[in-house]
Amino acid sequence: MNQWSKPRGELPRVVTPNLLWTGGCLSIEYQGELAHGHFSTYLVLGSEKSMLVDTGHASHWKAAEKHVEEFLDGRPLDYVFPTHAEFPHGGLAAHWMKKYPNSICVGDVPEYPLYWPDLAPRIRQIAVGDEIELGDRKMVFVPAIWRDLKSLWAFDTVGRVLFVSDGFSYLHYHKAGQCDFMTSEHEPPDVKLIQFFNERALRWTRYTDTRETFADIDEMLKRLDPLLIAAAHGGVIDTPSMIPLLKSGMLMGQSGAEAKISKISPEKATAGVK
Amino acid sequence: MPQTVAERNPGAGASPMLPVSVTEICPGTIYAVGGSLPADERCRAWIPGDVRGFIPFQCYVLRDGGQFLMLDGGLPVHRNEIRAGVEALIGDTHERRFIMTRRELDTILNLPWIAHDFNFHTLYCGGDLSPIDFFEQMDDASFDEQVRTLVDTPFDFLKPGPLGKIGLLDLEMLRGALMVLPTFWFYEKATRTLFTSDCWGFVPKLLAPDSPVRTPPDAELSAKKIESFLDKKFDWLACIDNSALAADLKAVFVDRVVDRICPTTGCIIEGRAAVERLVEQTLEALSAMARRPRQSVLAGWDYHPPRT
Repeated sequence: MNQWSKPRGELPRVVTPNLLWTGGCLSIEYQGELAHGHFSTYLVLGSEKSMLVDTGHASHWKAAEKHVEEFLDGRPLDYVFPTHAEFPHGGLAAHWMKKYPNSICVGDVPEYPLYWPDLAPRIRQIAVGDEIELGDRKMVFVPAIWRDLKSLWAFDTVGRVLFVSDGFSYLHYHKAGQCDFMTSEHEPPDVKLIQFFNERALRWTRYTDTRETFADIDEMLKRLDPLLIAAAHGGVIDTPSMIPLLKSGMLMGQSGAEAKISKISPEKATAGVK
Repeated sequence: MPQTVAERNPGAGASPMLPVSVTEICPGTIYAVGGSLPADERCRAWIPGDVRGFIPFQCYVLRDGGQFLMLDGGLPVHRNEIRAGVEALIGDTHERRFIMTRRELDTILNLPWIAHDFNFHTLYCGGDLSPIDFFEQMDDASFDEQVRTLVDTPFDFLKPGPLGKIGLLDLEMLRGALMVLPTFWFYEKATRTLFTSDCWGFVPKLLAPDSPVRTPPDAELSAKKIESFLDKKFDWLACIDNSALAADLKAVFVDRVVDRICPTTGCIIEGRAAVERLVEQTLEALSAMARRPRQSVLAGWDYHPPRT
């Protein structure tokens, strides 16, 4: 029996009283079916301060703004943390900073003052090893192992949630009513679909033996021992059995079998989904 | 007999009315618009830490025969410079298009006011929609949504290949050979100009008022300097078998004569010999990066959470 809230079928999901999972899915018609893909944003609520992890997709702004406001319940948003400067992760930083005029943007984003010069005094550069106190918990910034642009991952020391941005992402066809499922609440995704995602989203995986990165992943997971892994694309991971599956999803090119799954049918992919 | 670009636009560089934010690259047709910044911490997303001097940041305008094409939107910190430049160049052009070379913040954040204030009729981005590829469809759908939340101007995707004429200019769209996120390069055949988005944006200028057009000496285009740039901007090229990417890069230049490289960051690299050296040294840099053994990302990371 896990300690998390029950899914409602759509975001937001108040995973714990200290963790909001918001953002949303984009749905596209694919082979005659509507299929969804996640663009998640998380809010960590400490006893004193709060931190938004990733700024979300522009099309989810109005919904996420409302969800965050409700979850904060009158408290301010103190920190906005774009894991990296890609649009769905960091493009709405100014929106949040303007809505919460005392909030500070933190990240490995030295270029942000050039993007929002009027907000430059509220943008702070942080690096691996930095920590931010939220009262009863800290957010600790850790190396991003699986990534595209230069990124930071973060760890909530009390909730033991590891925020991994584009890492640990997985593509699985899901439909309306399944968007807030954690990995324990849906069938395991097809490994070929994870490969398919990674070889496109993380281009380097096509040209190297990704097994060389697994020791770092193992070491980080061993050291942090997270209860949850919160990725930007894919459901929140609450099942250890996902880790070997996700590693298998990094095996393509020189690492193993070529991913040839572009024609997999939604019916096959969604077969057995609760 | 049809005119060449040079014949139609005599008097190279003779544009006394242009504001300082505009640099004429090819007489009467191709311009860089933007500003420069000291090579300080704010530029570290694009350039290595040991680069000194000033870094130009620019978007480009291609203009001929009543057509006006803007490649990227420049940095918001240069909003005033870009506005002045576009105002000076747009004139009475009747066909105004805007193309994003990448789907990143530094190419797009100025788009809303540019599209609105200068009445662009269509915006484009490179895309390669495949009806059987869920990821590409999702990626393009995501970007389409992003743009539509920013601007009302009609938006569409372009596929790599010939894009047609802008007056006498003849533009081709290419997949970027070196990139992180989807990136498209553009080759203009009449002037032999290659626009490379964020690739090769590492050449500084000495002083802020200096021209952003340079023919750097060999020492500035060494494999070491290029490797340092690639490590900053495209660090995933290290410790992998990047030979396929090197082949893609070579292919771009085998099929095209290139007299200048126009990146969005750093100086414009002028002259065929400089371009040839740049490519040759880049291939050497790629090879050196490929030979490096993979290092642990966790090296130096000593955090251990408190025991609960």
